[in-house]
Amino acid sequence: MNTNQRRRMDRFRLLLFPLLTVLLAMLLVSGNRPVFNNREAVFYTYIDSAARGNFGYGTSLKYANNISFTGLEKGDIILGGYPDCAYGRFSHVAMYIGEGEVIEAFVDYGVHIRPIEHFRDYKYVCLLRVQADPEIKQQAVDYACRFQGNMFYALAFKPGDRIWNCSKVIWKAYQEQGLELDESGDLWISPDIFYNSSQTSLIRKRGY
Amino acid sequence: MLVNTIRLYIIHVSAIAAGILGSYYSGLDIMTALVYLLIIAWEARRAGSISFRNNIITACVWQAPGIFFAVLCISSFDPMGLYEYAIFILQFWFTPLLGLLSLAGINSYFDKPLYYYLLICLPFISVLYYLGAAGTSRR
Repeated sequence: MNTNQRRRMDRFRLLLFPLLTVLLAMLLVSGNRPVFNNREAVFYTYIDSAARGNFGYGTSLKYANNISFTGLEKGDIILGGYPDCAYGRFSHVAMYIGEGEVIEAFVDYGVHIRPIEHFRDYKYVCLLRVQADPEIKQQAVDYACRFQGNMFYALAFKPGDRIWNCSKVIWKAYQEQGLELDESGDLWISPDIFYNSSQTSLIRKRGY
Repeated sequence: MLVNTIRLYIIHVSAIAAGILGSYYSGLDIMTALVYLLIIAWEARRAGSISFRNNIITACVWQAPGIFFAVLCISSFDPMGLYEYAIFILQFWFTPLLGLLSLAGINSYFDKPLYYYLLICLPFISVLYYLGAAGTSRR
């Protein structure tokens, strides 16, 4: 390979991913114009929060809220939030699967099952009931549990079933049963969409 | 050496952006991860004429953010409250390999999934990968 060819290949390697990024960004935006035209989209929520210096899930301390978990049914949704969360009021969400346990996703555990009690650490907590038959909710629980062990990634888009975040697991579990809990049509699912959904009703809340 | 390090950072950071966007399209994240590995190996072979010591420095400087956050994850050191975000940042740093990491399987070991341990090891594996590829161009 002569010097000119070597320089061209050097430039190619350097510019490949920047050009691919631009191309993919154009494809994504052009295919999802309604989302990017919607100022309420979670994308803009995050940008606005980042501009104020908030990047993560908020100020996480052990707030020891005293919410009661009695009366929860399989398929109920539990939301937890910390102050200054960058992507909405709530920073985390899980689905109740019975016997004091929830299915959720977190970065160092992936999609996993754990006791519900850790939701007492959040400052804001809210219990929601999806308006659906018990059989539908059981199917949603079964569907979510199939993805135990799968990888968590905070920016997991809606499409695909290899990469999940806490909200996508629950949204997809219900979507597969014919219930669309995301009325915004956003690219990502954030915990707030369950709170804002017309297909959920509030059971009880603490902290706000 | 400085030029090689800067090139690696440009490739890596733009691969993070491409990896995030590529994950929207089924399978594209796996393809971008494979292309990323090829590009890094090619860059390493380009640096084959440089001394082994300088290549170690280049690779370690390139993976310094990954090494820093991997060490944070396994230690109780908490500079500026970064400890609780360390694993998140480490995962973002390795977004170029997101597609391949997602194939790591669903088994857990000591309560953590296999991809968690891979993330901790990846900065060091990346350094060895770079050095290995650079070494092949010296033969």
